Amino acid sequence: MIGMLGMGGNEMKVFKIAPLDPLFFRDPRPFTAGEQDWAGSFPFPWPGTVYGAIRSAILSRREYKKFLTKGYTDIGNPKQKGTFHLRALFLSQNGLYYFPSPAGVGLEKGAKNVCVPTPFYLPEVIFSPVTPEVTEFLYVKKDLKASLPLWISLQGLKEFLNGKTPRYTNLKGNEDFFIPEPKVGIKRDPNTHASELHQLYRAIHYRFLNNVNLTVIVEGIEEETLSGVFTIGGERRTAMVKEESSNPLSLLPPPKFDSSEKRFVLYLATPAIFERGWLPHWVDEETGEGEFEDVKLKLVSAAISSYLVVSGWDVQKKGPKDLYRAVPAGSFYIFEVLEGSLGDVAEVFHKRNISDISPEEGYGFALVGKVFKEVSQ
Amino acid sequence: MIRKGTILFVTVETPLHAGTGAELGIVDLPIQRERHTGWPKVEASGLKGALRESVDLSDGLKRAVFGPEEGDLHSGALVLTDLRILFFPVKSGKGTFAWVTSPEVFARFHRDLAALASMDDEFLAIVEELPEELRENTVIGNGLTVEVNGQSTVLLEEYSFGVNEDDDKLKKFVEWLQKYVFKKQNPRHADLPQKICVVENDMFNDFVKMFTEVITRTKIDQATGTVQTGALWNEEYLPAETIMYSLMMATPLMMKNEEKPEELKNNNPEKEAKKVLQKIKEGLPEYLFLGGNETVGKGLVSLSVIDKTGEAS
Repeated sequence: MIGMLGMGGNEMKVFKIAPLDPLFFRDPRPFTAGEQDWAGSFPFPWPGTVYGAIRSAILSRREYKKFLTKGYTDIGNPKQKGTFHLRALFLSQNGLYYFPSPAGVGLEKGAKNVCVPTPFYLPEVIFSPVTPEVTEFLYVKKDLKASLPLWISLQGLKEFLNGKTPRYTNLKGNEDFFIPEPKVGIKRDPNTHASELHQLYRAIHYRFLNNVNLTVIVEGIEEETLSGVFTIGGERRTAMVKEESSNPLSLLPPPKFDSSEKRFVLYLATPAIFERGWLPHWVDEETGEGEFEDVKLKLVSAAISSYLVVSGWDVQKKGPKDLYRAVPAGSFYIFEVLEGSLGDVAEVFHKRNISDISPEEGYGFALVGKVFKEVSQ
Repeated sequence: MIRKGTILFVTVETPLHAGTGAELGIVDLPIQRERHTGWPKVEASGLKGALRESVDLSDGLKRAVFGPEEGDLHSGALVLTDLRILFFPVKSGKGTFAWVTSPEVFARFHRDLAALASMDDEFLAIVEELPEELRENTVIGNGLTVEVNGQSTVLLEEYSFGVNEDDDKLKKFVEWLQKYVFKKQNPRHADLPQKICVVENDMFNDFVKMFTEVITRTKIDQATGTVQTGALWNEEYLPAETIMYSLMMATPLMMKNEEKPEELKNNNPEKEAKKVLQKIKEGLPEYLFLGGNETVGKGLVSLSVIDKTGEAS
């Protein structure tokens, strides 16, 4: 399904997913018994993985025969998805929420100053390796610490989206939330009780540290609520799911723009799969201009980390899902409005899933922000 | 969604080695541990494999419950968590040994049971009989205590500390264990109140890290009768009397309707999951071998589960 989601009239629900065991989210590298023995993994799942886990959990409460034939309004049938949409996916710990850190944001080397990339205008571009050509580049004035933070608190993200530099206490690394827990597995011959040859494997599971959970925003499900234990990711690892009463996204309204402002930041809170790699399908490759829902825009600049390879496992087909290169979460674009207002922009983009592919699975959850002017505090 | 579940208790009867493979360190072959606590654990995959080998079910039922051995036609209906520690045996100056636990271990046990209760209302009543927490430095009675300067004191390995012999929360927990886990016919039923000791969290962490059994093994050259060169290594074991638990849960069968075994099939997913769980419980052996070195007697464990009537089997 290509398009943007988020304006549906279905009620939004917030669920907390608390792992009971270390979780295993495999990366797309081949891992076949007897051929490879290391299974790569990530600590944080793709939105599609969580979407599939919730869809399967709902299906387990329904009649499978009906799912195969008529289908259900919310979870659809094997060939077509229904109204169930996953909107956003992020971390929570002790009542605080964390999102992927904006690309390029980091701590200054030797100091506790946070640096954010700011636009640097080049009047004449001699050579640009990408199209469309951009005349403004994002760069950071100071030397950054080698390891960039991977997570930013909701408060820090709010500051960033309001054009301010977040405080360093708002930035966290993976090590603050997850810890790798490698495991070794074998296969025993049931007759000889000896280990079978070439069946040794090693995988890294990730344990979520104290009170670290996944928070998921969904809409369009018929269940009154989802509560209990379900399996998520590989090796049927278990987690508890429970509905939350408050929606943390209500703390991220679109920023207030001055009438003189023409530019805005479009930040991705979940990975996005665009038809043209890093460019959404509605942006012209040559000119960088685009139009969406009567708002005409021009791409000014972008901060995008290396692409992610996204796949997954199709439980129905019992095979891998299609492989895509995705723009990683935390990437952001700077657009200039050519026709329309920034108020229209917020209406069209804020809290919408803008991925060209599988937006209903939670890809491309976007937030609108102001373009920052400050370099660092 | 998981529809039904119970707690599987595993008592280590002979030292257990669920290993991580060879490592560089003091111990060549260490046991599996949780990364963030250092507490011993047994991977769910190891437990599942051992259950599959030992459970008394037909091949068809095994395939339906555990999943096919080869290929990926469907996944199994049985879901297990890793085995988690509940009690760790420690040598005691009085009473031979103590079953040691901590407030932190109990808090997780309580949370895990609450997770089960969230899917099964009948389990809720069982969970509500538990105390909400355990206090550190508590025992019941004087099975482990000696009097030192007028204070009831417990001596565990090199540690000695004052305790409260009459803690109501611990009494409630022991009563629960005797009702649901170690019933009257269980040989540990009578010993339980006299041997349980709740220690401080840090002390428990020290015990499980420093007081596992580490044995040294060699390989004798058959020709010379002496140790082969390089054939000396040490292995870590969880000691006998360690008590662990896993959440054992069932989903509806993950296969096409026409392929489902008749005795498990049900149009209602919840009832189907209930049948799956019941079938597993019926086929559970009283003992099985878990982990490595089975042929030298290691890894013999006894199993028990709770059913909704509250009677441990």
